[in-house]
Amino acid sequence: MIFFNRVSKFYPKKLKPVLDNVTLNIAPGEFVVIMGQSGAGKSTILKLITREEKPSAGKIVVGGIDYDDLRPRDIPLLRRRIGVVFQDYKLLPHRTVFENVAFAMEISGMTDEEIQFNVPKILELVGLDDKANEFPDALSGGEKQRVAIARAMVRQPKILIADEPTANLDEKTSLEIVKLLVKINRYGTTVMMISHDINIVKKLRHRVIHIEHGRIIKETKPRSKNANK
Amino acid sequence: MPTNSKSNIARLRMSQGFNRKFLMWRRTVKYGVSNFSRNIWLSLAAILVMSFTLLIVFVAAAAALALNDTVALTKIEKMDLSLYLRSDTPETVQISLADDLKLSDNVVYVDIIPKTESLDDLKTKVELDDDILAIIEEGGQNLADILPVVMQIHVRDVGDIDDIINIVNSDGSQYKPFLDANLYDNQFFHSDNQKTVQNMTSLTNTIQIIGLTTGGVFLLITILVIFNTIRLAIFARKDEIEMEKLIGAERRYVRGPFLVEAELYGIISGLISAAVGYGLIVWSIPAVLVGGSISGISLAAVSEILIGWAPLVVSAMVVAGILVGNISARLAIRKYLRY
Repeated sequence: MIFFNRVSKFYPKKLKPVLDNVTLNIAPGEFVVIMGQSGAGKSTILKLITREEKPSAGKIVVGGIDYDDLRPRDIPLLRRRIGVVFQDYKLLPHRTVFENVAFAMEISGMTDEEIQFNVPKILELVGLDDKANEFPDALSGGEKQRVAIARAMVRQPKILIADEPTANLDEKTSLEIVKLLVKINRYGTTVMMISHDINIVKKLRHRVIHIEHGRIIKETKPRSKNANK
Repeated sequence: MPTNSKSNIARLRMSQGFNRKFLMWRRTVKYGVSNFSRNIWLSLAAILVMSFTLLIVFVAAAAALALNDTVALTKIEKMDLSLYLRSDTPETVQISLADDLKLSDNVVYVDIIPKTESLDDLKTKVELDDDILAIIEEGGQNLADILPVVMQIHVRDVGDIDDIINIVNSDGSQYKPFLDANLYDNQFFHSDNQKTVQNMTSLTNTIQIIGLTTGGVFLLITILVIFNTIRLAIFARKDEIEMEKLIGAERRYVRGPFLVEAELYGIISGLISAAVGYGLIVWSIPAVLVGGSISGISLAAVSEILIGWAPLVVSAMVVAGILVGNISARLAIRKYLRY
């Protein structure tokens, strides 16, 4: 589903590469955690997948699309097929929960009927069906992150990438968010979670890819397939 | 890994069809209008400046139109040159000169003025009364005999008479010996209007240049003001734009509401400036409504276009406003659109 072959990323004027010869292969339906301290290159992986950045070297293929074949005007279309959840939620403050989620469908050209049909269902999935008309300011951090997840999932992407989704949350709420991601993964979506929080990662029994200084230093595999139930 | 990447991308690009496009357009307009009302004070300031510019262009265009028309009419009505020949010029020479002159492209027709008419003309100009005439004629001279032969040459353009001068006054011209300097200004040519027309043409040109320059300067100021207004609006929603791009909004969808906002300034400004422009012109020069003229300036063309083509003129103002808004907003948002 997500394939990196010997991908490196250099920034001009910096001696060390942010990503150094990274090879990744994430299968469809997998739940993978990218683990590493800040500055290790985790967010660069996200930016390469959403095509905010281009790799300096190497090949990237996501969802059967070779990024070398992409033209600039394909980028928005690509991004609609990848759900992304950000650490700082990136919600629109002047719009309600419903409108925030609907917005992702609006920009993809979905009809008002499709929006009216899909948004309540996805809000129910993330457990916010009773907060549809609240504004983001009235929500807790965990609730905001649920809105962000709903927005990412409402277009039913095959891939969901969560960039430090628990960084601003307390432990209990973090666990709830991670459980929600696991639930989404069980419906068949490939989930890539980027995190530096070792405590959260320990509670998961999924494949973890450890990154340090732009290199993959080790991988830990799940002990058993259904261990996290 | 997959080798069918190209076909996957093709599927990504599948056309969204007319209905989807219309839907997106409707949403763009909706957000544009809501942006407009959210920044109502900024919007009003932008509209004020834009209206002012369009008004200046409107008034300058109307003034140029009136002046051009006046000059054109003057040229058509009063393009006569008088050529003076010696009193004793034989009739055959007169006729052959007339024929030669008619060969010039610039000459419409040539009249040989009968001497009796010239005499009457002279009498009115110099206020000769019959007594004085009698005295002159007693001296043994028939006044009609000593008057020059006058040829009235009707030309298309008084500014371009080299051709005619060449025919009558070049070295070796057979007509040169018959030329007679006229009574008033010692030239064998005389035109009442040549100077006037030349002055008017240069006045019109000057006014047009002033109008164009002022219009241009205000256009530039307007573009800058709209540019900055939209830039402020963009700056206030930088995070929003960032987010829109990240979740897959296309360039035109991010840009759309800002263009709509600026085009709205244009539509409203176009209407305001047309209303004020018409009001101003009709109020200060009511004669515009019926054509005619005021202090020698012809209003026929202005009246025909402003009154006869009013819907078109107002639409043109609105379209001009939309264009200015669109261009300014495009410039302002350009750098925020990189993926």
